[in-house]
Amino acid sequence: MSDALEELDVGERRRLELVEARDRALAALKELEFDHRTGTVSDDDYRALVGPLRREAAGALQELEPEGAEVTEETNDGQGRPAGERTS
Amino acid sequence: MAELGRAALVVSLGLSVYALVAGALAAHLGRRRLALSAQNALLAAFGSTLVASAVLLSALLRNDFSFIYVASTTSEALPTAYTISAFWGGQEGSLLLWLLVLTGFAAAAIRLNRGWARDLIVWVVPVFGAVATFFAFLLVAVANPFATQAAPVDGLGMTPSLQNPYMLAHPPLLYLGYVGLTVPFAFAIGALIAGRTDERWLVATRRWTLVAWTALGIGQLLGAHWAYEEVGWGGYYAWDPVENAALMPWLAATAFLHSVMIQEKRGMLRIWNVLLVLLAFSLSLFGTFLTRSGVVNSIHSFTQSSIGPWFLAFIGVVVTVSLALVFWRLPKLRSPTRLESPISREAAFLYNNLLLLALCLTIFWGVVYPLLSEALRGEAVVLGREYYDFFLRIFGLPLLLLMGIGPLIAWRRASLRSLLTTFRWPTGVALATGAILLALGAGSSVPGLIAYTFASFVITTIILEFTRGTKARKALGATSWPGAFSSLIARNRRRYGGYVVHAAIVLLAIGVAGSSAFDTVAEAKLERGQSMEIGNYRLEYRTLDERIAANATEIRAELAVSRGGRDLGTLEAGKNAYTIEDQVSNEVGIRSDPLTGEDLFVIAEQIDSDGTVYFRVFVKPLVNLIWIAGLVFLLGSLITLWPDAREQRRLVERTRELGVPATR
Repeated sequence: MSDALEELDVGERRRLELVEARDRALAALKELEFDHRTGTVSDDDYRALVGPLRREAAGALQELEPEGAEVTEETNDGQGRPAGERTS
Repeated sequence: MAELGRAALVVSLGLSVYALVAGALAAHLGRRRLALSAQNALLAAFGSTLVASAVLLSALLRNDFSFIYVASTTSEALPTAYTISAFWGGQEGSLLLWLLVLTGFAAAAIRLNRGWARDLIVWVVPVFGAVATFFAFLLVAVANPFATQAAPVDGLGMTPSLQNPYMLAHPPLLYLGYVGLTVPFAFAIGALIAGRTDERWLVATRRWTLVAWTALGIGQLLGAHWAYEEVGWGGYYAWDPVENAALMPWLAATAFLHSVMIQEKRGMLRIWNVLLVLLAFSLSLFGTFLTRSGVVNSIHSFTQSSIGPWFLAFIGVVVTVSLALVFWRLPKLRSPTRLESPISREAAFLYNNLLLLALCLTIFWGVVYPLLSEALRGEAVVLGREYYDFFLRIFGLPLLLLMGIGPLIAWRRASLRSLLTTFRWPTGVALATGAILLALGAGSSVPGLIAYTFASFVITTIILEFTRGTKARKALGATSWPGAFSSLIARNRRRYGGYVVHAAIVLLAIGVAGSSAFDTVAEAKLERGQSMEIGNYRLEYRTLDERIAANATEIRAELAVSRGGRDLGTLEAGKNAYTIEDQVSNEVGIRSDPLTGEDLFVIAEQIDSDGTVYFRVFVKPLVNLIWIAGLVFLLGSLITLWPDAREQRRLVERTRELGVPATR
């Protein structure tokens, strides 16, 4: 086994940044959905926030996908419908 | 035995220096085996420090007074539990505990994270090595616990106020907190040197920071209870410099635990977070310096010593090098995103951070002002209770309110219309509470009234969050309400554990406001058979007894207590005269009402030879909520700290996605 320390190369570091950005956006989407469901976030605020978040997640996913692969994450132009019924 | 202890410490110093030098070389030259060797050196340093600690503990338990440390902190008559607590009761022992916990934490933190963040860990090791080198050097060269002498017949004994069960837990918990803050510091500095300013250093240190923060919080509350029961002046927090020394890093760590969420959710505040970690660690060093240097007059300043200049120099180096590194890495630390709106959860967290930091720096100024004034004008000017209380109200009350506002605002931005809807219930409950309390006479203290009003606002938001969240989980398929509730917490431990911690802070605020803003005091000099009244209580002084305990003569006055004509039993208050230590301590009498949380607190200030006693009596409404807050705080911290399988899976998945084997 080589004595050289294995470091992340430039490509791996870029992937790490993208994975972090994707996870951040997906976690934020999940929290937004839940906060909307509980009533903490209103319908109007939800509609205003969900689009940019989905675009962020989709952007990171797209960059992460190997070339030629299809990105299945739904992109949204800000007109997203509230997902699921409110519980309050 | 002393030779073994000394040798073990020298080995610890050598291994720490090796971890520093070899670790830095390995990281710089990219040598894998050397890096591994430096990591192992830290683990071995823990082992040798453990040997040194065992030697000291053994000497304490054997009452081996040939050890100067043992002779100066214990005596033959000292009960065994307090003999053990003498390990951290003196300067040299507490520094040894610092090194023991530091090397243990360092070895564990590296072991747990080296699989998935190896390129970061290689720079973390020399940072741990540097901090360990400082403490090992102090122990070897400046404050050696293994200095020996011709053994005297008996030791000098322990300061009476330290002979209290709380001393078995309060100091070690504070040290766990102080030392625990080294972990986020070492990872932050390692990340800066390595240029790895991604989120891994935050993920790696999140739980360590929480453990340190929890230990500091619980340690302070135990210290407050110790002061309440043992020091016997009628309070639990006196803004003593050494009490403040533990509060400051806790406030900085609290700010960090909030702002780190903004970085995780939004990728913002990277510079701010690094600075907060540096501040928290520097303040933990400063806290140790204050406690152990004897530079300030305090109930905790048990020794005057020569470690002060060393600590100041080390703090200076830490601050200078850290700031230089931050400056060097500024381009990498710049955030890709910005605050979108002043009305958003991240903005609320930011306001919270600014208030916490303002409170922290205000307290810092209060602590250093007497030192500066003495250095510059030759006279120490102490900033008194009014100074601290004023700023606690100015910054603390808005902080309390923000705890209720933050959770109900959306990330990124929220509309005013949405806020009006969201806040109608908490605002309604808060206003109603304030009006009722005003009608009941609570207007005698405006800050107290505001604190209760804000507290009811926060409690309402917490209840709303749990209720709505549980309903949502039930709607999402949970089979039962308890199932929905537990699933709600299990799926987001940080958020809902955080709410439990918020509830603890509210209880604390209610307890502090009740016991300080609405307390009553009465004083009387009584002969046996005479009585005094305070509020609805009547106290009749009956007898004065003297008894001999293992290491002290106990003098106790017995009082019969009644309230509204109903007999509540008896209460004892008095003094202990410690023979060996030649000191006298107040032993207060406390009667707690479990229903109202109120305490009747009796101090026998002066006991005359004819049996006349000068009593000072307090009634402290709601004071017991402070101690209950400690339990709730611990519960919330445990919920937050509990391992999260989903999170672990996500980290493993992330490592796999990068194509980096988890164990390389």
